[in-house]
Amino acid sequence: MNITPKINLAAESAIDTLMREIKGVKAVVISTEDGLELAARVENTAQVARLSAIASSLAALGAVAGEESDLGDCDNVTIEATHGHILMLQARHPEVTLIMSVVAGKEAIIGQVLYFAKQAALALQHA
Amino acid sequence: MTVEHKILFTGTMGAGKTTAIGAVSEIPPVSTDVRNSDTSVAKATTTVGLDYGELTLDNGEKLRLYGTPGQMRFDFMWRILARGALGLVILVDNSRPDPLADLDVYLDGFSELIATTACVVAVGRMEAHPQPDIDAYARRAEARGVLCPVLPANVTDPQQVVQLLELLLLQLEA
Repeated sequence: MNITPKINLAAESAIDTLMREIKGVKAVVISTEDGLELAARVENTAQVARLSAIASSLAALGAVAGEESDLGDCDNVTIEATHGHILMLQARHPEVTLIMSVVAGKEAIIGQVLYFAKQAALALQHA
Repeated sequence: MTVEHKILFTGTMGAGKTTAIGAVSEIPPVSTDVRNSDTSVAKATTTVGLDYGELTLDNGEKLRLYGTPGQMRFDFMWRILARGALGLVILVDNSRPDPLADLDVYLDGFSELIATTACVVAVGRMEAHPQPDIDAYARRAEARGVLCPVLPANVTDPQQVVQLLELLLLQLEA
């Protein structure tokens, strides 16, 4: 699938916003729903491909869980780990469904991460 | 108590893992297919999490069938899904450019599981793509220390999928 430059730019812009607005963000990766990286800002670049694939699997499993429970689509998956949070949100652009993964340290406020990430996903959906 | 076995299907993207499970499952299969954006493979969707189906054999044994994603970037799912599996079916697509190298990927990726359980290699699309032949696959597996049945299979045919599963269970009984 060819991702249009407009979507690529919107992805970069979403990453800029999240890195700027959220204190304690360690990485933001935007990937296709089948786990291929589109754009990323991350301390350790080796993480990017891995995180894209993991986010893809988790989003798909979340979707199955939502369907099987009659709760509808899965909009996001949050993982609370010992040293922080990982938030994975779907951005359903008409041309392509994307998954935005935000890795935040313990110092980040999860409510703030969720708010800005949802805003960024919405902006990406309407790009 | 019903005897249950966990069986795993793996192989390249497009080899037929989702199809095989869907062909024999008694329940609506659980699928995690999403739109494929890899332009090097002409396929609309691809599995990114797992496939799941169930099959009860004539002897009452119940098989829980799991399918893995094919691409190596999902190898973390391979390790998760391999836990507790009793046997592995490797599906190979003979129409791909280097199907013997494809086999190597899964023999390596599941080496721990293969060393402790049973394995069957099923080669698809052999009618239109007869080479490499079954002997070439058997030799390749043997060269990697794996002795297992290798046979041609069309996984759209439920009977052939059941045959693969029975062959797998036969090895476990041996």
